[in-house]
Amino acid sequence: MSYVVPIGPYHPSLEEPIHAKLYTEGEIIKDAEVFIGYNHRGIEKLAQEKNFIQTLVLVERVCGICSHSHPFAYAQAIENIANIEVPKRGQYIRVIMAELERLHSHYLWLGIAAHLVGYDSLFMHIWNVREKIMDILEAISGNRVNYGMIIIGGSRRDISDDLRRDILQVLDEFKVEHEKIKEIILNDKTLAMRTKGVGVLPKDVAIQMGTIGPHARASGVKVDVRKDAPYSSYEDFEFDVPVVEDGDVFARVVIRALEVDESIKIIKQALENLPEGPVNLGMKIPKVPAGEFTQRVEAPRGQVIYYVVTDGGQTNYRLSIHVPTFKTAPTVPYMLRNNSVADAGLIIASIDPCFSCLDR
Amino acid sequence: MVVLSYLFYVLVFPGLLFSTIVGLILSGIDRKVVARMQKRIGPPIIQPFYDFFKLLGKETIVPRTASRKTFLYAPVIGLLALVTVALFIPMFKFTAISTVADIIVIIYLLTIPAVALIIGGAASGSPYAGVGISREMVAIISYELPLVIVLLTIGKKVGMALNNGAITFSLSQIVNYQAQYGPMITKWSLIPAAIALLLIIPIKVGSVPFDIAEAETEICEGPLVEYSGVPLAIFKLNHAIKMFIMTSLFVTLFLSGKGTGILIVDILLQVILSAIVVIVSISTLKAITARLKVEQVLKFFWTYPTALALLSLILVWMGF
Repeated sequence: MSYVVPIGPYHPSLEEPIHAKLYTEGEIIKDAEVFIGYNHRGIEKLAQEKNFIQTLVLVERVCGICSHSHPFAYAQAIENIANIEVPKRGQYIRVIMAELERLHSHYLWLGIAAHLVGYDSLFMHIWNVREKIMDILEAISGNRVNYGMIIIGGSRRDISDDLRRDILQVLDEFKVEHEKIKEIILNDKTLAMRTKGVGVLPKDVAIQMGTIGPHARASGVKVDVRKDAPYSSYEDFEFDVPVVEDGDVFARVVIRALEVDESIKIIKQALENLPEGPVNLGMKIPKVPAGEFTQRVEAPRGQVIYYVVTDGGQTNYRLSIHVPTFKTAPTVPYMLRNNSVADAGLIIASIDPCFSCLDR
Repeated sequence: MVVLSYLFYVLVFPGLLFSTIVGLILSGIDRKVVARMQKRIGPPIIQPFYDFFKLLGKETIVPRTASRKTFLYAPVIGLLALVTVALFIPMFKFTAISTVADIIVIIYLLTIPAVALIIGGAASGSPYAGVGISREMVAIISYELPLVIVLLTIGKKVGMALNNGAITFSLSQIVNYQAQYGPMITKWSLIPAAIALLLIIPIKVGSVPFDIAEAETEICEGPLVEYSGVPLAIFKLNHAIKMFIMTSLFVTLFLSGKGTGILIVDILLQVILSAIVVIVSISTLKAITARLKVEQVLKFFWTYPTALALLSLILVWMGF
């Protein structure tokens, strides 16, 4: 029996609206199509009418999860056009926030992956541990999402010595919990039964389709903007880029568990070696000459590319946002083929999609 | 008078009302225990009652593509079958209806709710339901074999003691045997069969890791996807009652005996033991596993539970 099974626009395994049509024979998916555009908010157009500080607020709302990476990329692009040198302490605090964001984003996704395979206990446990990171984020920025930590020329808030000690302590507790969760993920039998060999993306196809971020690293492609084109003092920190070769959903789960370790390493180094000095250059609206710049930032899901053109006026002449899902989503139909309907939701979710980012 | 007493059996105890209340309480206990295992507070024990009554008050929508009568009657057929099964299961000394072949009746009647789910899903005309019913069929194929072997094993064991070696199909005889020789679980040769039945209970009531037919995050509850209002409430009730009946059957088969002789206490004991079986076989398994895939379920049930049940059968046949 052949069916056309619609996944979405509203489906329990999706957090955001997307529509996928699965052409199935029995339980096996023969072909798939993905339709996007349910979340279009016209952010790029809106940015052309806002000044540079307002645009920071705007791009922070492109995505709810990587809400630090977007203004991070935008601010660096503007700083490069205007030749603004960000104080070292400001750069470090930006990095700390970016890595904390990676921790909470990866944990969010790991929880969702566990939920999708029906492992609700692991889901609850992971999200419980994630609260530690959310508490740190709230302690630093005052917010759980949309931190508002970026300003042109630095970070909006400083991290005091007391707070630094507290964060390091909570991070140690988090690390202990993470080791336990990692052990469950690597050794649990039912989780492996559901995810091993599912939605395979071979290395050559991954390169051919130009996929990026953890999704590419799970297929054995070693790409990471933090290493390839360091920004905001990433060259100061010592960390590895983990790579898993298998390219299935299990590899994508494992790669995120491994990257959490590296992020903890970076945050610890940044906190322990936090340089003295100011965190920003004052709160005034910068004067930006005409120019253009492309900035890449490694968001939790992959690289975010911001292309900014200014014409010397108060607003952006053009702002173009390229998000990781834009690069990872085209691999979905390939991965869906010859898998069962049972895994469709899991495979779509395995790219850690952000359709709000994608549609902007 | 006979008619009145049967009416009482069917509608109040141990039929509709009793099994509804106990079933909903058991599913409440299940939810609470799972929540505690997951470090959550969990809903109150009587939450399933709230859910049930809320659904009764909701609008019933029948899809345009559905075959209306079949769609609406399918849950009722399942409920009727389950209430009938409830009459056949003895609680220690108490039996509502007893025949010489209870077990065969139960095997047949217990399949009907699953068939009702398939019929209802097929009538709804949704592709999710289409996938769901094919999975439900696989589930039936998976668990029927080990379930029958377990029941045969017990019948043989009892038959050898009370019936000159002929397999018994009477549940009251099984209870009598346990009253004389102690609960079945204490016989070591039957422990593999007990484990097999503990593994069959979750797939029969459709809970994780064997909830393939209704996998919420995969196929949006499969056959139930188009249901709403009263029919959905009845399907949810079917689940709850099935949970009670399967665990109660386990108690009758393995943990029964003389009882205390006082009816109320016996029934309470049966319910408490059922709740323990729910916690052991449904809640714990739900908390520690991920959902399996269809072919993995089939493979699992045709290897481990079937092998365990067969092992018991062979041991019993050899006289252990």
